[in-house]
Amino acid sequence: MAPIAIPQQVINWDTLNEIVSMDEDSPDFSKNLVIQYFDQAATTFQQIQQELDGRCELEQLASLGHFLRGSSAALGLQRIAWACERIQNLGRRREGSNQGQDLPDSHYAGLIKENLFFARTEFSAAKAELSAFYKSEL
Amino acid sequence: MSTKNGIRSSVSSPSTFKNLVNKNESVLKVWVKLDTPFLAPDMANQATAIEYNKSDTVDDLKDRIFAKFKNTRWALENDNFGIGIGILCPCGPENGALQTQHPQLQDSRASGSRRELPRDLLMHPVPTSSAINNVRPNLASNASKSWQTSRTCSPYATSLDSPLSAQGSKLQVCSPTLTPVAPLRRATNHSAAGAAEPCSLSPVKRGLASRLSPNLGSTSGLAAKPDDLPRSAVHRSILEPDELVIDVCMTLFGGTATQKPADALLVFSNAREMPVFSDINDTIDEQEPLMEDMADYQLIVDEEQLRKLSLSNDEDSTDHKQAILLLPRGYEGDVNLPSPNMTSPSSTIDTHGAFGFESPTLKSAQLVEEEVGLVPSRDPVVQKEGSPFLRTALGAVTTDSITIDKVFPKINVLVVEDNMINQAILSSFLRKHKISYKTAKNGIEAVEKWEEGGMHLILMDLGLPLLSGIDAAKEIRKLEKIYGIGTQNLHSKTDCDQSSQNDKNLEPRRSHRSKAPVIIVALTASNSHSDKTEALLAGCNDYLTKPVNLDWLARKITEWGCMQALIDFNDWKEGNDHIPSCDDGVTKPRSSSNLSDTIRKSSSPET
Repeated sequence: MAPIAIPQQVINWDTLNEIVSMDEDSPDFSKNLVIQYFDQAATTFQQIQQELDGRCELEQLASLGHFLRGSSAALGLQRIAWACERIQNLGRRREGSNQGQDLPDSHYAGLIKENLFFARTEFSAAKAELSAFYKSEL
Repeated sequence: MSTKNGIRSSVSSPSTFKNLVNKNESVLKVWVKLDTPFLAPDMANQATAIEYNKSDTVDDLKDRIFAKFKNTRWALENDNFGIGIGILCPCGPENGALQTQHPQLQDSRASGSRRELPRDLLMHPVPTSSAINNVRPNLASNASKSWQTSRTCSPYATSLDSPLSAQGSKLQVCSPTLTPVAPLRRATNHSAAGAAEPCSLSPVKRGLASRLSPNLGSTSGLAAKPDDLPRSAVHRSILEPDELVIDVCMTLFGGTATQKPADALLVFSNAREMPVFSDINDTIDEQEPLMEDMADYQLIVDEEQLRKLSLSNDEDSTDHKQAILLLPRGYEGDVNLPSPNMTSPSSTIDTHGAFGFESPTLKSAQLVEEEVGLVPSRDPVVQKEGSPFLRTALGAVTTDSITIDKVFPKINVLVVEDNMINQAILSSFLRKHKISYKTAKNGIEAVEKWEEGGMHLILMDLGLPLLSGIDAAKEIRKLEKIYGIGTQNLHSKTDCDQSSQNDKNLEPRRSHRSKAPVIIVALTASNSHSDKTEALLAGCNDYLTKPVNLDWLARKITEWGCMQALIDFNDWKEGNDHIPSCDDGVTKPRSSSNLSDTIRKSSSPET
């Protein structure tokens, strides 16, 4: 299963604007949501890191990837979501190997580590872009 | 070219020569024949002689026909405006011409179809480029043969006289490669197109060219023979109402006494091809099976709209059909809903499967089991485009119109999301639209919240901790079956019969708490096909891909919410007879403790 191409833009504004449009009713709704998300993402990154360093259960890593992927995608942070999808699929051994290949967990763990690094990079990029958007340091 | 010319003159000459014969007859008669499927066969096939005066027009002839046929069913069912007198115009040459021109064409065909099919192919100006080839040369055709200017009915001439004849014969040579059905179909289309065709003799279209081609006189006999092809293969040529009957006879039959019963003029009882009378659709409506197109309906939700519509009807739009949809009191849903254009996952598949989406008929709007969501979509892109139920409105509906203007049905929604961000988004959306909702963080909680009762719609994330969304959906469906919720399923009925035997208390209560099964909309990862399949198999009705597009969410809520409200309405009607005290509002959340009591009681014999 070939991974789909990574999105060009850090943020999918079509998606995020939908949420921003809800600010009309409750001011700062989207901003608070974004702040909440950054907390959640940072926490999840830590959990993934801990899992990699610790027991390294692929199932758990996949679950964490899936979790963060959901909220990232919901906010339109599509490159983070992409990286999380890779982590999820690697954790399920659905990609990162050829058909029928039986690879040790460490192989997938290594790939997850790469993607975690990538996700963190994207996280910083998204944070910068959103800070500019809300004109305040998030 | 010269041989072809010879052929044509041999066709047309007899009638032109007879043109001057028998002009001074004292008693004038014309053979007519009723052409209607509603008559007894013997009557329809029988030509009748009608006497007429020298000064009679075709319209007068109609009166005489009615006088002749008075007290028959035909006369009762038709009126002067509904009928048209004319001939079946085969637009064709004699067979001999064909055989000499294209023996290979003849060889390729069965003898029965030989005479008709090629002729249609050749002579009917099929509404394609070939029609253009056929029409244009008529204007430029030989001026010395004056009738030829009006002889649009016979493109035969064009293939002979015109510089485009090469193309015309090419068309014919190509024809054997077509399937035998194809020319038939083309001919049928042609006859359906009727008045718009260059071949039509409709007076409005033709102007001066109201006379029938002399060529037709020789072929109309063919058209009347019983061994002919079905009439759809040829087309009707309706005579101009103010044409003199005597002129018609002269032109068609070469004289007033030369007409044979077999050449009888046909009286068409369905004169749809006559643009002059196109406003009398009543007679047509009586005879044709009514094909009701849902697209012609517009939905009316309140008295104000009804009033508005009746006002506008007075002015112009008399052709609007009306239907009144009864909705429950206090119903505030968006009534764009049960629309013929509604696409659900199954029809989404159809669009890129074998069926296509060309004809959004009433059929496609019917809710069958597959459409409720047992068939998964295989393509996320198609799903993305087709999933919102109003395909046509897709482009027009903006986020603004959805989030600001949309009014939703009063339903209770359960949001099952473990991710607080997503839950916050969904909750905020629902809160904003004043849709009552509950939230659950995992599958077990979801089942519990559902058991509390009153839920119409569940938005179920699939990747849930403790109990996955799939398993939660399965569990809910299992419990519904046990409680006998929903009546489509035979098994659920037998189940509930058994349980009601075990527990008599359940049965009377069920009548007011029995409602449609909850609608479960799965929230799936955007590109996970297996998720969708699994979700639908687990009993979810529908799915939305994550990230959830709020437009789609709005539509899903409206779509399913309205459906639930409508289903509820039936319950409300039935329930009202037995239990007057409750259920005044359809969407009123039911007493949750009551329901969970019932659920516990009914589940106890199972466990």
